[in-house]
Amino acid sequence: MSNADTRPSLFETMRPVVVLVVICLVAGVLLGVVHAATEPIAQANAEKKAQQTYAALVPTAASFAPLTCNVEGCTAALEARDAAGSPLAYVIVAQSKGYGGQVPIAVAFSPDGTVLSITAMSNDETPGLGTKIANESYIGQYVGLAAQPTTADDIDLISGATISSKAALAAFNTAVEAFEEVR
Amino acid sequence: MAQPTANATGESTLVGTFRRGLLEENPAFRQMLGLCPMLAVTTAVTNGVGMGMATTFVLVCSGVVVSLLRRVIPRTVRIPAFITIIASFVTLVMMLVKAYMPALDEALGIYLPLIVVNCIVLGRAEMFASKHGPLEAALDGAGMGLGFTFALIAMSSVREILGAGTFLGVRVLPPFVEPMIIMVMPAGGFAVLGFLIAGSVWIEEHPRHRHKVLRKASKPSPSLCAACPINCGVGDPSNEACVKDEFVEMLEAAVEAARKKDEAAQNADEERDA
Amino acid sequence: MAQYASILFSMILVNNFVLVKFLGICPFLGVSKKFDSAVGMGCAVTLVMVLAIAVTWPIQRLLAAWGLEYLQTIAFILVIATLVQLLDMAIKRYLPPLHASLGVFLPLITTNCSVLGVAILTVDEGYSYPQALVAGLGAGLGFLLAMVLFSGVRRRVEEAAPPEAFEGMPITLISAAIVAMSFMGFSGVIDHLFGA
Repeated sequence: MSNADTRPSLFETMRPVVVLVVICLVAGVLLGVVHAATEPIAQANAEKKAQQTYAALVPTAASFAPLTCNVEGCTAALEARDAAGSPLAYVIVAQSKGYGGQVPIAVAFSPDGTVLSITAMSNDETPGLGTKIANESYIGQYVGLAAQPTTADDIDLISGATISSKAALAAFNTAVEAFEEVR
Repeated sequence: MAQPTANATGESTLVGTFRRGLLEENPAFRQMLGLCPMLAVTTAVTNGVGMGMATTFVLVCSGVVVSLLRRVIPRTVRIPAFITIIASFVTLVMMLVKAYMPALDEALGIYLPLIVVNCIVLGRAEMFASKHGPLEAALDGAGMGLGFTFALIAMSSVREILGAGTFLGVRVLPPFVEPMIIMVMPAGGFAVLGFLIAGSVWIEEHPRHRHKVLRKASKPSPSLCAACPINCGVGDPSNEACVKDEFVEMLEAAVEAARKKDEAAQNADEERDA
Repeated sequence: MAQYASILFSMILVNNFVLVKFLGICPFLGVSKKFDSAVGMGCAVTLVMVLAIAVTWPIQRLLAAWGLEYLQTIAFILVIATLVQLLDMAIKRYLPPLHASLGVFLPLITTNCSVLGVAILTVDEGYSYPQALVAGLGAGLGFLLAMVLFSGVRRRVEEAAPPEAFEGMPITLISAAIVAMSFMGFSGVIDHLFGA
């Protein structure tokens, strides 16, 4: 039972662990480098896409100023301003759980509280069924509504896609709530 | 059923290595590997192509790295090491897709990170890349990856045309044909895959359709990945693929030894007490 | 409470991991031939899913705190692989009877996509710790339910004589399609039961 006996076996036992740790470290460092390189691009993409959505909702706006919203399910709130800086509309992005994950929608409210425009953002609902919520025949029903809690009685749900269309409705109500908070 | 490894050494040309994965050993239709993404992301052709390309990239890169490191990695920890290498490349793909193809990132969602546990990738690392040179490993990965992509495209074409009436987003069915939504629903996924595999078997068995490439092809392997311990497709899928993993054996031996030691100590204690 | 019940039942029925989300297809098709092994596999997966979430959820918090979310995939798969290995050893050491019934299934689960899937999914959904654990339990029970139902269907299918080309895998997949179709009927149930 001398030390000389255990030493080589200790090295042999440690070798797999050392190799694994080295592989993990190298992988971690390399990924860190790639992450640092790609993350800004990914964020810029997301930002650009969000700006395009907002611009499509309020085409006359010159700029969008972010507001804070604390309502659960509200992911973004912005004030759309004209060139002079006076508020044109409030844009709220809200989501609710649907059939295949979150169903996000973006709503533009006029300062006096009517829906100017609305759009369903990309979601994982069943293609050809749940994704119909993005169609004008469904989502268009919201345009012109007052910013107040809305029920399934005010909106025609899509038959066969009840969950998706109800999720969009719930997201709309969240947006209304968030609008009341930020206006 | 053909012995894949014997086949590989028999026609040891690089072209053969590449071509094998496309048809004869097509991972999806022949080896029944990677069925989860096969069923899940094939609701649209673009998703199928994206998934296939991402998997091919991971297969080629991890194959090359595993092949280069095959003499460095001790056999006992090879599976965790392979998993780490594969997971790194999957993470790399996720970052690249997120940065340069955000739409695909949204469409594939959770199934992109799940390439890590795609049986095909770990299976090829263990069965091929860890035993061959980097060039061969790369070609094998490319062949298997493209074979998988081809299967994904076949499956997603059927599902998109029948289920949404479109192909690559362009309407192909005449307007009076109502798309069969069931095809893009989960149930349709299982059914379409069942019919595609049955179709490939039928073409192969039917004398009139017998083709010289297909004749060499094997029937879908009955031993599914789940039949093998630790990971799917590891070992030789043509026979008892399920050779017990050495790492597990080592750990089990260690546990057994510890248990015996404890028992011995307990017995010694009891004897002393007595 | 209703919230937890809603998560649990929607994971079991509406978002069934096997039949709706297509996660864990390999064991679903491979181990469902016999009722006993289907139950064993289902229980093992349920156990590992809950434990995996118990471990990966705090790890995700740590990664997020250090700004290392991009290492999620690597960290999760390694943690799950280690966890399964340790669990296997622990059960073998301390609960030999349980090991006799579940032990053979544990090593199969390491690279089962449903376990990694549920870990990533609970992070994506932004569940709290108890919610995530309930979701893991629901996902596991859903897997168990699908396995048990399908093993029953399969016993009949094995005795049937389909056209030659459909023998084996194709007819199994088509019967899976029919089972999946029956699960479509659940989609409205949760909505009305728990108002979720």
